[in-house]
Amino acid sequence: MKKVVSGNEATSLAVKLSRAQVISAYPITPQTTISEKLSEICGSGELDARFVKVESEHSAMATLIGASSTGVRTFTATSAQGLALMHELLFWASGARLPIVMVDVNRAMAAPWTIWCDQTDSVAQRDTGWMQFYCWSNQEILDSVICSFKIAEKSSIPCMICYDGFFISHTNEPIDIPEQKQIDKFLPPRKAEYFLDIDNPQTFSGGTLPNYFMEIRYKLHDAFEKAQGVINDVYDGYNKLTGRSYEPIEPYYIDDADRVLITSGSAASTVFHTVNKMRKSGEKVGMLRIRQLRPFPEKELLYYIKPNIKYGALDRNLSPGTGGVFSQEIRSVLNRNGNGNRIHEFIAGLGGRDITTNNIEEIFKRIGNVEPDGINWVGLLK
Amino acid sequence: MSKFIVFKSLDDMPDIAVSKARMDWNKTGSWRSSTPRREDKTPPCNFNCPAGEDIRGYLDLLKHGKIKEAFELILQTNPMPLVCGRVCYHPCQSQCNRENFDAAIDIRLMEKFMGEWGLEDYTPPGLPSPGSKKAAVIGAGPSGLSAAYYLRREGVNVTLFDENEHPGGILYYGIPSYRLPNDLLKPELDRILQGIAFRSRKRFGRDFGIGELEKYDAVFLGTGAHKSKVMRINGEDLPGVKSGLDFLKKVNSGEKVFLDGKDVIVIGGGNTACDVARTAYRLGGNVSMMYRRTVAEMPAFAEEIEQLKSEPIKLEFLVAPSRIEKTGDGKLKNLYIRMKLGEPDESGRSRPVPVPGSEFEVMADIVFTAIGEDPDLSFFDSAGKSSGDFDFASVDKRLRDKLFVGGDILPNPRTVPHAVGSGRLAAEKILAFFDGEKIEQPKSIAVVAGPDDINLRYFVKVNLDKRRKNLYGGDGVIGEAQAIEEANRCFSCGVCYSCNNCYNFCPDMAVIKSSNGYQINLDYCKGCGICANECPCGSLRMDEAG
Amino acid sequence: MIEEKGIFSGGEFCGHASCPGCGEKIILRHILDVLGRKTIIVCPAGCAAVTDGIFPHSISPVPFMHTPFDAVASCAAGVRAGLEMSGRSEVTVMVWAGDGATFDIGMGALSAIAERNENILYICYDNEAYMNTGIQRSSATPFGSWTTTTPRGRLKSEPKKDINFILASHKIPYIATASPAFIDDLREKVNKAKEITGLRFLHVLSPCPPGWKSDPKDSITLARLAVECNVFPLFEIENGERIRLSYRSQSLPVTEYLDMQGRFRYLSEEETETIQSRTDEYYKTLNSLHESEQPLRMTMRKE
Repeated sequence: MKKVVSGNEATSLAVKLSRAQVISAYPITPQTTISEKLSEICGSGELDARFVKVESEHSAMATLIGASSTGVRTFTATSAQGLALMHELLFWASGARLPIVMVDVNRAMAAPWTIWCDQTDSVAQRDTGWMQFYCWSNQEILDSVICSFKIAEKSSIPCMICYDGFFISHTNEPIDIPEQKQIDKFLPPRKAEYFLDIDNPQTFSGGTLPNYFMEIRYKLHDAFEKAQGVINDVYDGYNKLTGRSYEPIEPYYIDDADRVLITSGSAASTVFHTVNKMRKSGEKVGMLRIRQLRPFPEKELLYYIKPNIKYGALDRNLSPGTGGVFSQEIRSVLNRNGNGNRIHEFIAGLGGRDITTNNIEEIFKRIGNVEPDGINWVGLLK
Repeated sequence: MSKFIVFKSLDDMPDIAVSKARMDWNKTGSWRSSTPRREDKTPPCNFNCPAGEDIRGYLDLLKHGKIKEAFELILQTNPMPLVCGRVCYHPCQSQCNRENFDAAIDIRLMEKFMGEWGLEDYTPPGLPSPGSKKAAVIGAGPSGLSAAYYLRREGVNVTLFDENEHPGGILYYGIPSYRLPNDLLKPELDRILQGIAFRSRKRFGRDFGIGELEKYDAVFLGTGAHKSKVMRINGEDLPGVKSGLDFLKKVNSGEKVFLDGKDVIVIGGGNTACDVARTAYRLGGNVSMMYRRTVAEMPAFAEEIEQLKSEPIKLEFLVAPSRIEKTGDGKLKNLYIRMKLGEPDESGRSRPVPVPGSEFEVMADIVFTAIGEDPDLSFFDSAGKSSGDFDFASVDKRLRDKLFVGGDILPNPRTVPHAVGSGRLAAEKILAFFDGEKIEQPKSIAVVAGPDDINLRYFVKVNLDKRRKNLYGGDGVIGEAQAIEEANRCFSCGVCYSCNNCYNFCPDMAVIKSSNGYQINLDYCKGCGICANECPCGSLRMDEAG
Repeated sequence: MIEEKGIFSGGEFCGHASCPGCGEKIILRHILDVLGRKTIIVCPAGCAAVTDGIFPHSISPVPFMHTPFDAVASCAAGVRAGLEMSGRSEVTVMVWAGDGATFDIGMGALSAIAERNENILYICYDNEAYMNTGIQRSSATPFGSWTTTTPRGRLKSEPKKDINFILASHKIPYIATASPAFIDDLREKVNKAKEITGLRFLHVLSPCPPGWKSDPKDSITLARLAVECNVFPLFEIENGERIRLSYRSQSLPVTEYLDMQGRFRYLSEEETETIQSRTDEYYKTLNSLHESEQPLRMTMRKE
């Protein structure tokens, strides 16, 4: 079924189709419309789920940790300060291997106050042991949320789906919505290996001494190493069902490109259009859209990085003092694998500033004309 | 029991920190620096009971409403709770640790209640059929009854001899009926005498001799002390000067004795003297009591003295008779001399010393002497000693080896419970003798629980007024509810009464309930000491050592 | 002799790492004994979490979920929601939290589940400071108490937070205080709370020998004196309105309680008097609020 919906509506539809059982969320712009919609459909009985209306994001995540520990399917959504408030609990969720699914509608971190988009909120949670997927379209949101439940439950790793506040969350697009029956088949009810069970009383997450803590952590890391296989399998299955699939890194016009810009989120849409425009004037530019920050698609990246091509990375996020987080990750992969390519690094669009086609054309120009020279701030006042 | 789990490989381990076993491999007992130990002490009531009753034990049963069990527990050491409830001086009660907290348990009242309950509501279990062993019990007073009863319970064929028509001895003939009415005594005696052959009017040495005792495998002698001591003064043998004990016996036998308006003097300060004085008063006499020391030295029991004082009987202390003369009008002129207290004598009491020139005279119609009694052992040719330990060596050898004695013949205090206790002990010795064993008197090593052993925080002071009304409002007659309420006050000094505190308050669940009571699981006990500290009755202690 | 029955027949509770004389474990074993096996414990950081066991071992005879310090109330709400969504509504969700998690770091979340009247039995074992981290003051620490953060010369100058009346203002169906010295009362209240739907809050005083600087053997005596001296009165509040004293104490002088604890050894005479008068005042207030046709129990002595 085709329908024109906003990004946040796509999320709500996906949660409904996935039959989440416990939902807990706290209002924060630009996520709020997700909570409103879910609250509404839980209230009306359209979705048979308990919506726990908590007093903070911290409690939202804590509630899901509790609920997920009983073996049910759980969902929450948040943004920026809300996500930061959950920080402590994100570690707990992954350490306890709870397959919680969360949408983070990307919003810049205060101070100063802002409600506008950048990815600093989610990239700052990079090390909490959650998978992170970055979407660029409402269709991808719907598909990713549904698939994330399956990925999370198969790998026992919580999943975060991120997309840009307002640019995506509040923009309407036509999407294709699968039938409930299809999804029920694709995503059967969760079967937890461990859960709070009065017939098999066990203690969860108790004090662990140095003799085993590393092993527990290793197993989480190992699960991440194996997660790409799980992700690929899930999308293969989803592809059979819907004809849609997603790669960890999606290439555009790279076969003969001499300059490639690597980016994520809604900025990729602008790059997409700019590439189209520049290709018309014969410029051999291309794009790599990264969908995953965790697990980071190392092999896939190496596959696409070729000698004699110039690369740039555009980040709509900032780790002050170091630069963009995706850039950092790319550098680290290249370095680790002895790949001699150096990349141009660009910071753009922080706090909701537009990233325009002009900006992108400038960026491609720079990639072609100068050697990589550290971090470039795009559109910064002189 | 869980084992300490060791993971040998990554694959052994779960993906998350989830428990796979309990903690009981962790023997926290190794932390301990002191160790609790169950150590029941002897409650002062039990310790002081001459009859050896488990008083705490029957109060504990009573408070749980187990009256029959309580009564049977008493019967294990004392066949006559009704009698003792009335005539025992209850040293148990005067030593009760509760006395200084609010008021001692009225054990006497409890025993009296139990005795009365036993008369009305108790059906004794059937006795074993008499076996081949035969025992003769001479004297049907408290010790003889007790010996006969405990022998018969064990299947011994018992014959009980007494010189009087009725069994009971001093109980029937000595103790005045206002203290122990014979119609109450009789049913209790009937219960005791079940299955026992009673031969009345059979006085040993007069109506039968050692020859008749040959067919018995054991003989118990409990003939008491009935020979009044003499005063060794002039006029002692005048017709109006009589033995107080004989007087009591006469009255109790139902003989009519009139003392209306007569001046009666009672000489002595013991229990018999008090009984004589009070009986004489009840028969109409104007009674004076003469005692050579002060009230503090009177050998009578305190409560008897209290009751005596409450009656219009004239008490003269520090006076001793020196001579009695008959006057022309048939009266007796009594000459007395005043005394003062000197150095203590061998009894520990101050010796009375005459005050020279202090003689005075008192006129009387009758004089009763009650200055003490001795056992009359004249039936033995070589007459056993009249005081001190019984002299077995002096007894005919046909009897000697199977002879056991008890009651007032022994140099014990002359009380009913002592007699009952000695009778029971003799029965135990006889039973052991039948089995070819010998019982040595156990050396007393009892640790008696004192007030410091009680955790008073567990007890609430009773409202004394309310208790008084409740217990004594009905002229000393109480019902089950009152008895249970009073028994409930028992501290259970030194003896575990399954209050559950040690079990409930152990943080380590190292106190285990078992059919043998509470046990400490030293594998886990950390030695915190809560159990001993919270034991209300001092039956747990901490030893300084892990 | 009563035969051993109930939840711990296999000695499951043995081997835990609590200090000798720990009040928390006395309370916990009785609570679990009353609640039975259809119970899930949700437990934040604190003594109970640390002493329960070390991975992969635990004393708990029922499912036991550790949570972050500040998150216990919300985690419990999640467990409750999860149970309901998976058809296991009959299971009791019990929070087992110390005063730090309850009065301080988890107060916001506790207030939230109280306001939402989540169907949870929240039990606070209150040892009146951060004992697990080494005796730092919490808002449950009483006036005049020594802790490592309220040292001699800077004793705690603020009174203990009145958590029960804060929660009463949320109009939750049941609030009760309890003391391990009054074990029957404690068990009765747990049993009563078990049968009520909605948020039930039990506040139990939990003596702590290392933190209170008291002799381990005196833990129960102190738990009793706290009640008898009115420092920790036993009462219940239903629906935030009906207040009922559970026990008429002997109103002993507070010094009987204070003098047995090293944490109060620096009190001046004036401060002791302050404690006495505040205690009297509070007990008087409770008495004036007490409403019941039932006469108060005068003794907790076991008959």
